[in-house]
Amino acid sequence: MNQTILKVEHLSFAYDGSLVLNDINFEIEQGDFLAIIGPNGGGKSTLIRCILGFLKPIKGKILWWGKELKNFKEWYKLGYVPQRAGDLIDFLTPLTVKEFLSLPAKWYHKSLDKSYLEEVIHLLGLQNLLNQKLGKLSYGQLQRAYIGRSLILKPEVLILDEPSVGLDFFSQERFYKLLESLHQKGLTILLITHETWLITKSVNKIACINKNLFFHGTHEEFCTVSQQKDFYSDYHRIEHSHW
Amino acid sequence: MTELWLSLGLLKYGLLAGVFLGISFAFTSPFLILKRNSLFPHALTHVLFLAIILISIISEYFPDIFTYPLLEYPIMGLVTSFCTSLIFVLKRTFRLYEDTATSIITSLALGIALILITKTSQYDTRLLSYLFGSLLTVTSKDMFNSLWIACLTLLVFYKYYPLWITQTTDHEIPGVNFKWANFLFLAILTLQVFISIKLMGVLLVSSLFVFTSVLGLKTGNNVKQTIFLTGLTNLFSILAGTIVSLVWDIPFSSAVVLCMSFWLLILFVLKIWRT
Repeated sequence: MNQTILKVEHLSFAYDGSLVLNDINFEIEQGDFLAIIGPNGGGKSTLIRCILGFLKPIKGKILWWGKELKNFKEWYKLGYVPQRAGDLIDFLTPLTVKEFLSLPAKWYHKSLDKSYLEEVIHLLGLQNLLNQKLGKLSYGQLQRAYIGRSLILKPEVLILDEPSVGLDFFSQERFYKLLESLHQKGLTILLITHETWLITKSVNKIACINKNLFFHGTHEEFCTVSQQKDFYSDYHRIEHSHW
Repeated sequence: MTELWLSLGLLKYGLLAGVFLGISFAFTSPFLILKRNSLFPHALTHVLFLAIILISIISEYFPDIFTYPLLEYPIMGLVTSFCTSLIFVLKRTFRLYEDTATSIITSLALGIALILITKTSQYDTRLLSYLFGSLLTVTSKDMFNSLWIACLTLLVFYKYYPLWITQTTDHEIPGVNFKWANFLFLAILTLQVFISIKLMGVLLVSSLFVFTSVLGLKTGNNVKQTIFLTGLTNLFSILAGTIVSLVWDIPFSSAVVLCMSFWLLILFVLKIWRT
């Protein structure tokens, strides 16, 4: 049996008294590729921000490698690509791709493995962009730089919050192929998306969230007609109620 | 020429203070621009002006109190933190935008400072030098203060630079707390503004934070180059400003701003020429 990396128990979160997440329970095991899907405003990003310690839940427990969030110190084991990564970057940003990639080592006081750095740079095709300023990169190139940065300390888990937003169809396809190859190399991936049609076959677990956790199971289970029907009926009912 | 050298001798403390501040600004001002906070020093000068007037009033009643080094700083700190807390309260209680709350409180601080000036007979040449800046009023004590602020800036920069630069690309990083980095960034900025008010004046001190950092950010190919170019143009502007102000007999602060604008103009012309 694989090691449990993340365990979320009875997690609830509210913004100004209005409940956004209600009693969420799930686990991620080593080697999982979990896709969290759900409608806009369904609480996917809030869930990620809770498990990364940016938001404090009103109820429940979050355990990384069995340690509660307040006792967890090994943040370098997690690679994180935020939602709308690159939104803050503009033409004045002086950081080069090379400087950007070296930042995690400074945050967590770790040394950079030069040969692994080279490997990441080649994997993401960043070799010709190393001395480019971030402000001069296209959105797709920026996205690759963010993924590169999240991989630089050899994390055990990669967390991506709607990473393909803003990418064209071909870039999205290339991007998901890259995720597949990273997963095949043994990386555990937690991916948030609402582009269900883009979820590749390599996703082995799926969680559907819209305030509550409607479904949590394997890709195969998700693909069975009955489960899809159940999920989509709940999904659409709630989507409709938003309007 | 001899006259110029004699004048430079008289202005040595101001000039050296300018050099130290010019170097220390290079390590903070580009981050201020990148955080879209370039009006912050301008707002801060309004609050610090009130602190300066209070210090001036206290020193009138207790003439010996400020002979002890660094005793102005607690007063400055108190006034700044009080105004910052008011901004925070206003923002929370009335649900205002931060810049709106800042504008209200800093205008109030300036208003109170003006009332205090007129009611306590502080309206003299010293006040004018605080408003417009002067190289002559800078003392050896101010110069040493600039030096230790430059050293402090370098120390804090060395420790917190990765977090300052990260905030230009990310809102939050797992396991990384930006509170101390932000607090020290603001503390260093406050000290820099406070010290440079005597040199540049309340009205023009914020120019030191904006002109050259824009130039550095526009021309630098990486962070190191940006900081180096910002520092270099700061030094050039302060030195050139001193000479220009002596030769044409114009205020030092405006001469520095003119020099800084001149570098920007050159950059602008070069950009047009290249395209």
